[in-house]
Amino acid sequence: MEDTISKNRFPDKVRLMATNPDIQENMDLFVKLLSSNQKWIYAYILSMIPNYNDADDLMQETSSIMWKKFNDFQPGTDFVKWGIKIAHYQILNFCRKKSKSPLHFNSDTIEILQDTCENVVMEFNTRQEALRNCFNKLSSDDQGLLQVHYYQSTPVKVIAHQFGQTVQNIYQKLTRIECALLNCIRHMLAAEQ
Amino acid sequence: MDKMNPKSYEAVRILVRHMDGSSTPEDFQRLESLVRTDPEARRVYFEYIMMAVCMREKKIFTSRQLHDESRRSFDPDLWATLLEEEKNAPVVQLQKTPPPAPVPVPHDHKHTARQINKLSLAAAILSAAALIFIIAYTNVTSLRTIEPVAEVIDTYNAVWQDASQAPRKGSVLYNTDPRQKLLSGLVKVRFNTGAEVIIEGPAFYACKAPDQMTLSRGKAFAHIPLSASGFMINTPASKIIDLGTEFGVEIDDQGNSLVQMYKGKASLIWGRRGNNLQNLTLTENNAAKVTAATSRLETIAYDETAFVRKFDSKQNLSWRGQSLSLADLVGGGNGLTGGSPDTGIRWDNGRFASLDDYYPDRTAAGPTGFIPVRQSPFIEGVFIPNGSNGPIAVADRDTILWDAPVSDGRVCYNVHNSGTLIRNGVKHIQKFDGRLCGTPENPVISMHANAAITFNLEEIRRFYGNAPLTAFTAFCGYSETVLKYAGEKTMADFYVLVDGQERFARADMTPYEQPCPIDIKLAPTDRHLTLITTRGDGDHTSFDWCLFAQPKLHFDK
Repeated sequence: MEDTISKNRFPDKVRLMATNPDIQENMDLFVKLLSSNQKWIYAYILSMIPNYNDADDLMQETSSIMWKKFNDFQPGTDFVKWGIKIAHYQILNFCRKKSKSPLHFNSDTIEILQDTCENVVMEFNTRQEALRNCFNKLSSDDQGLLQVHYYQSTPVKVIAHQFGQTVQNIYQKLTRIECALLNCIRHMLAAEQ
Repeated sequence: MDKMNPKSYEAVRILVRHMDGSSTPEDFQRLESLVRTDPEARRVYFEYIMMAVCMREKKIFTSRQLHDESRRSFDPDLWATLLEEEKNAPVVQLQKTPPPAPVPVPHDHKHTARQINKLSLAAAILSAAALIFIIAYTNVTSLRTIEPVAEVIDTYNAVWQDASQAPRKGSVLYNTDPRQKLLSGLVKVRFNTGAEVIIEGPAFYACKAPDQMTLSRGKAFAHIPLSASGFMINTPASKIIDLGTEFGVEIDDQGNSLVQMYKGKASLIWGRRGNNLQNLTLTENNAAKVTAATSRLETIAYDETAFVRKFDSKQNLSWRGQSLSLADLVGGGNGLTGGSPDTGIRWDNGRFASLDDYYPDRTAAGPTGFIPVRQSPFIEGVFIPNGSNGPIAVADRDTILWDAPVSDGRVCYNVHNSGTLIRNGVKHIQKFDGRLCGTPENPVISMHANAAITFNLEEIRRFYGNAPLTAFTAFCGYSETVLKYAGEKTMADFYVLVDGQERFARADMTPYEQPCPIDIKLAPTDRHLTLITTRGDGDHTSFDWCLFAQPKLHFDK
């Protein structure tokens, strides 16, 4: 099943049909690299800018710039690191624009986060596998709530309506489930080492 | 399993709300303080973000989990039990810290409406952002205070079981009002959240809350703007929650729910209390049925005209999505009703007039320039096509020019919707393709060369709830009766323009030819449709009894 997030992150220009075979080959390589590595770049962006809408936009901008500068990329080198470097500049520009927003990190915080972020992002695959195993340990109802919230992208307000519960109750439930998952993932990763 | 330390727990608590768009500036400041100053909270912050990305990537949800019928999920009883556990769970002590000094900065973050950006919109269209849930459980009633929840906007031929309690236009509806029984006709209700619902009788319904109604029987067509997302329609065996779409729902005699999507893409989750829920994606222009007895869902044929989507009692208008007649517009109507027969538009002042009041039956030099029609928003105006002095205007306020062929600028009768022609005081009914013209079965626009009329597609779309016009169809040709009266060769040119661009051209058509079909696709941004007749390859316009027969505008053709 095609990942909906992936589908939306490709810059529009990438979708244009290339008439030049060299350009086509370049495009194919870019698409292949971006498809398989974008989640790390997106995770980095979302860590700095914890807002799905903003992170989606920044990912789109970053992808566009990566495509424009793809000739500068050396095949065989670290595509994710290269992408994160480009994303970082977009993030800094974004922070400048949002410097007065009380719902975005300031640039000092971004600097502090950046030091830790790259290392954690590289754990993505192992964390994903651990998450899958931990998720399977949840009760059906806990799984169902996460499924509705993430798989169906349903806001908590609507979930609360759906079950005739308060929004606070649902937030409380989500907090407990997600803390449990985080603890489980940690234990699982620690056990593997 | 070790419990999380209090600061890390607090970071997760804030993140859950923030990523859902519900955090306050104070919450976020606290989160920022935690990730800056506490390495463990910072670490948990990153781990949370990774986890959220994984879950949004959806790869942890296997298809077996999504469709496993042997496992119970979404059971409200279990939810109630789990929430009880929640209430009795040990409290996590959060370390109290002094609140940060308030920083007076302006902010424009709004929690009340979701920000729409191009990517979110694309995701909404492509995935589950326009969402409908159907889940099966019965309502739990509870004591409520009396509050107004909606208002009746209009009624049309409404007949109520209890006439003394019948709501009228302008009536305020309260959450404690008894169930309404509409025996026939239509009622339009606007809820305080902005949701609008057209209910078609026979129907039993109740307005329970600003964002909720019940429908026990009958049809409801709902237009739910994004600001009213979360609006709910409860039916005997199901519940429908909308997130900003247009849909119709019908409850039949057996209590089965039929749902039809007009706009948006829906993920349907259905099932029954005690059993698992399944899901299906219902896309625009598709329909599904939930059988009450078995709680099974099946896709059914989509019926464009199944629901009344607009009505107006003043205009005697009830629209189910059917096509519009341009002949009715020429008579001063709205495309469905209200157009007077045997009516046209005067060349001298652009006003509607019956043929009895105005019928210039001699060719004469016609007016120059574009003649606006102020009496109808749907007709931009009329004009005489003559390119002798260069390109001519085909619309009023817009400078849309057309490179018209040269003509003699002469005009005979006005543009009208009658089948009747008058010649030397003698009337006869035109015929087209073997049928009499100007009847309900064969509406026409009569346009003796040289003549042109421009319709305003933008206003037409607006009137019909901004539903997209997708095509214009008609047949062009001569009235067959000209062969009886005309003793000489005659020919004419027919054109159809969209925003001044030729989309159809038929030159030198004669009365001996079969009607020529016209089928023009329309785009959502097209604004003007112009029909034109001019003289053909001859030097006169005598007997150019030209017709556009069955001229129609289509929605979703």
